[in-house]
Amino acid sequence: MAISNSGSVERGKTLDFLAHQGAVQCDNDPLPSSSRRFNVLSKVSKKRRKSTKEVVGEPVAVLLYFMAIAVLFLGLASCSRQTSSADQIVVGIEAEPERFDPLTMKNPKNFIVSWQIFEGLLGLDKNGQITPALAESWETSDNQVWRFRIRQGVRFHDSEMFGSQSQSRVMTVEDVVESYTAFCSSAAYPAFLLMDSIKGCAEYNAGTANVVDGVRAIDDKTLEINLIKPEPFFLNRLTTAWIAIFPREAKDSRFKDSWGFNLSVGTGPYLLKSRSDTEIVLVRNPNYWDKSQHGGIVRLTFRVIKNDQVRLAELKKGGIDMMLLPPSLFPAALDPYGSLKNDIAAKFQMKVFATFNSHLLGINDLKITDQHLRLAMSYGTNRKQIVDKFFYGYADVIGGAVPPGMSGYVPAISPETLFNLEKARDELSRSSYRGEPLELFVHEQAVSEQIGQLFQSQMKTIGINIQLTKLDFNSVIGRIVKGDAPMFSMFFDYVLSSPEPILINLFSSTKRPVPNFWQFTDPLIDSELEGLRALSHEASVEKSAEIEKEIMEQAPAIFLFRLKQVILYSKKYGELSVNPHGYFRFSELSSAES
Amino acid sequence: MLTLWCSIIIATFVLFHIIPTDPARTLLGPNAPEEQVASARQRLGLDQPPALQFFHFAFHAFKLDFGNSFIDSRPVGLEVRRKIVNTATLTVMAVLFIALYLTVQVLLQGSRKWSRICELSDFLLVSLPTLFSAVLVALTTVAYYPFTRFSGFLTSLSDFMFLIPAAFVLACYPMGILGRILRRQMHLVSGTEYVRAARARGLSENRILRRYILRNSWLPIIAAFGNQLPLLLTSTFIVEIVFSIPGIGSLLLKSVLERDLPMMEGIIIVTSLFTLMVSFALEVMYQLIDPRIRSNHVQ
Repeated sequence: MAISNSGSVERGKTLDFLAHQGAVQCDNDPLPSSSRRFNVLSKVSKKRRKSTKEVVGEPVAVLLYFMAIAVLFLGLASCSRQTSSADQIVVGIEAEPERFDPLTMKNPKNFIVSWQIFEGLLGLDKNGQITPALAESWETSDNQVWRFRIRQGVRFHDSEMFGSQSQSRVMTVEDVVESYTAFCSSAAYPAFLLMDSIKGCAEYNAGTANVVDGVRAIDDKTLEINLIKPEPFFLNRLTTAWIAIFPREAKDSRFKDSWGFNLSVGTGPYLLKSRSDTEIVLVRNPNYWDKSQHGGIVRLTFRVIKNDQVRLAELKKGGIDMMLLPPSLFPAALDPYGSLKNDIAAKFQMKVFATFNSHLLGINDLKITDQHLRLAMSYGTNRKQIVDKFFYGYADVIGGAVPPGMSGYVPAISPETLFNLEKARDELSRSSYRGEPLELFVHEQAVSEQIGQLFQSQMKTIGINIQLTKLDFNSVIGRIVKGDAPMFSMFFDYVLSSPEPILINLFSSTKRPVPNFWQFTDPLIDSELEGLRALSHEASVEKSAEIEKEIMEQAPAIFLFRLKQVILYSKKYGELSVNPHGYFRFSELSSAES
Repeated sequence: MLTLWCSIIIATFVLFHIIPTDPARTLLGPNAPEEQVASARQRLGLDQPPALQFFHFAFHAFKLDFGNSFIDSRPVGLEVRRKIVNTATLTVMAVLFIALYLTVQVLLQGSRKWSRICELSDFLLVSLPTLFSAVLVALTTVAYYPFTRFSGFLTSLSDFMFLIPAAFVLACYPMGILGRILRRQMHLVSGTEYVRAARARGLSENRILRRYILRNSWLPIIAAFGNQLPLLLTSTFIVEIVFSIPGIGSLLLKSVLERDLPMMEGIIIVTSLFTLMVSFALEVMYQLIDPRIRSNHVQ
C-alpha cells in the first residue's frame, strides 16, 4: 500500500515520485514483513523523538555560547583603561585631519592641532594683545612700510627634508620671504588676508608678476613689508598661524606628496611624531625658541571621534582627557544654570574663553532694499533668547560686526537696546512690506537651522513671514556669492584681531560681492573707513566704534552673538590658557599638582 | 558588465557636473576674490568645455586613474585604495555576522518558541534605523567594550576587534531581512512532498535539514543577499561616521560636502565596479548551486 498524504494527487505520479525518493513501498514491490515494517516505523519514531530533543537542546547551547563570549568581553572591559599620565594629554577632536600644509589649511576645527606645529610672525595673548613670535620686534614710521626683526636662532623641527631624520636648520629671513610669497599665490587659501594689503601680492596672485614687490629681506635679520596704503592695523592681520612660516624645502618636488601628510615641519612648540586618519601624535619640540614656556605636557595625542555623544562618553570613561563642548552637547553636560552636571564636575573642569567667532543673519541689501523692513527685523530679533536657548548663555549678544574686546574695542551699540518690539512694529508699519515670504538660507553647521527656526517664530510675532530653505554649507556660500540668497545664516571665525580691517572688508563698497556679502554701499561710510588709515591705531579703534554704529543704523545684516568656547578637561591638569583665536597653549599646561 | 560599467562612468560624470556648484569657490572659501577663483578654475580644468572634460575623465577612468583631489591634491587612487580596505573588511565582517545569524536561525527552526523569538528579533532588526542602532551600539561599546581605538590601518588584532560592533550594526538590517526570507523558505520547503517522503523513509531530521530543506532554500537567500549588498555599502556612510572609521563611506560624504569632484568620481566608479563584480560572482554561484538553472542556461 502506498503512503500518500495528499490523496487528491494523481495516484500514479505520486507513487512514482515517492518510489523514486525511496519514501514508500510501491504497489508493485513486495511488502516488508510486518515485523520489519514495525521495526522501520519504530526506528522512525525514535529518531524523531531524538531530533526533537536535539532541537530543544541546541538553542540552550547557543545561548550559553554567547553568554560565555559576553562574560569574556566584560572581563576584558573590567581591566582598567589605560589613562594618560599628567605629562601627556589626549584630546578628542571632531574632524578628520586635513593636509597640514599652511597654504591649504582652512578648517578651523583642525587649528587646535596645526597651530602647535606652525607659527607666524606675531601672536595674541589670552587678553587679545599682540605678542612677538617669530618676529621679535617691529617698527614703522608711516604705517605703510613695516620692518620686522626676525628672531635669530629659531630652528625648524628635525626632518628628513634637511638631510636626515635627526637634522634641522635655523630659520632664515629668506624662509619668511618665501613663505609670504607663497601665501600670495593663487593656490593659497589665506591669500585674501594679504592681497589687498601688500604691494604686488594681487599681481603675483593673478600670475602677472613673478615676485611680490612688497616683501623683501633688507638683511639677514630684517624683513620689510611694503603696503599698498597705510594701515595702522596691519599687525592685526598676522596674529594667527594662518600666515605661518615654513621651510623653503617644502616646495621641493621630492616632498610634493608627503608635505602636509607625514611631513609637516614648522617652528612650533610641538612637532609631528605620527599621523593617521584617526590619531595624530605630537611631541614636545626640544629646540623650541621660547624657553619661558615651562609647561609639562610632552606628548599631545589628538583622537578623531566624529560623533559628539560618543566623544563625551569617551571623556567620561577616560579614553580622552579633553574636548571642546559643542552646543549640541550642552543639555547632556550642563545643568539648566550652565554649570557642569555633578557626575562630570567630579572629574572634569570647565574652561570658557571668548572667541572672535560671530554669528549673524545676513541680508542681501540689493534684494531687500527696504531699510525699514531690515530695521524691523533687527529690532524684532530677541538675541538673548537665542543665546539662552541654544548656548546656555555661553555667548555674548552683539549688535555689530566686531566682537567686543578685540584690540580693546568697545562697541558703541548697547546690547540692551537691540531688542525692541515697539520699534520693530513701528519700522514695519513704515515699510512697504505686505506679507510676502522672505527666504532665509540655513545650513547644517553652527546650529544654523535651529537659530533660523527660532528667528522665524520671532518674526511671526511682529508679522514678518520668513521661509526657511536648508542647504549644505557650501551650497549656501555659493548662493551668497552669486547674490541669490535674500537672507542667509552665517558665521565668521575672525583671523583679524582689530576692528578696522573687519569693517573695511565687510562694509566697503569696493569689497562687493565678497566679502561684503550684503552688498552694502554707502559712499560716506567708504570715505570714513578710508580715513581710519590716517589715524593712530588707538584712535582708529575708537573711531571704528562710531562708524560701526552708523552702519548698523542701516541694518545691512542682523548680528546676533559672539560665541564663547567651552572646554572640558581632566582635573589632573592645571590652568589652560587659550587666546581668542583659539590657540591652545599646551606648552604652558602643567599637571594640577605642580 | 562592461556596458553597465561604461554607463556608470557616463552617469557619474553627468551627475556631478550638472550639480550647480563651484568647486573652485569651495576650495578657496567665501573670502577669496573672484579673480583668484577664476584662476583656480583654470588650474583645475573646470573652465574647459564639458565634452573635453568628459573625454579626459573617461580616458583616465578606464585606467582607474582619477587624478588628484581638488582639496589637498592627494592622489585619489591611493586614497581610495587605502580606505576601501577598511570598508571591505567591515563589509566582510558584517557578512560573517549575517552568516552566523542565519546559522542560528537554522538551528532554532525546529522549536516553535524559538521560532517566535526569531520572528521578533527579525522584526526589531528590520525596524531599527541604522543611525539609531549605530549610536546606541557605539555608546554601549565605549562603556563596556575594551577595543575602542582604531589605528586607521588593519595592522593589529585590536583594529579588527574595533570593527566588530560596527560590523554588527551594519549587518542588522540584512540579518532581519534574510532571516525572514530564510525561515519562510524553510517552512515552504519543509511542507513539500519530497520532504514528507524523506521523513516517511525514516531519515533523521538533521539529514533532511541538510540535504533537502537547506539546499532548496539557499537560492532565494543568495538572490536576496545580492539585493542587500548595495544597501550594505551605503549603510557604511552612517556607520563609519558614528564609529569614526576612515573608510570609503566617510570619504565620500566628506568629498560631497567639499565638492571634491575627482574623489567623488573615483569612489563611485570603484565601488560600482566592486558591486558589479560581486553581482557577477553571485550569478555564477546560482548556477553552481542549482543545476536546473545551469541546464536551462545550456538549453
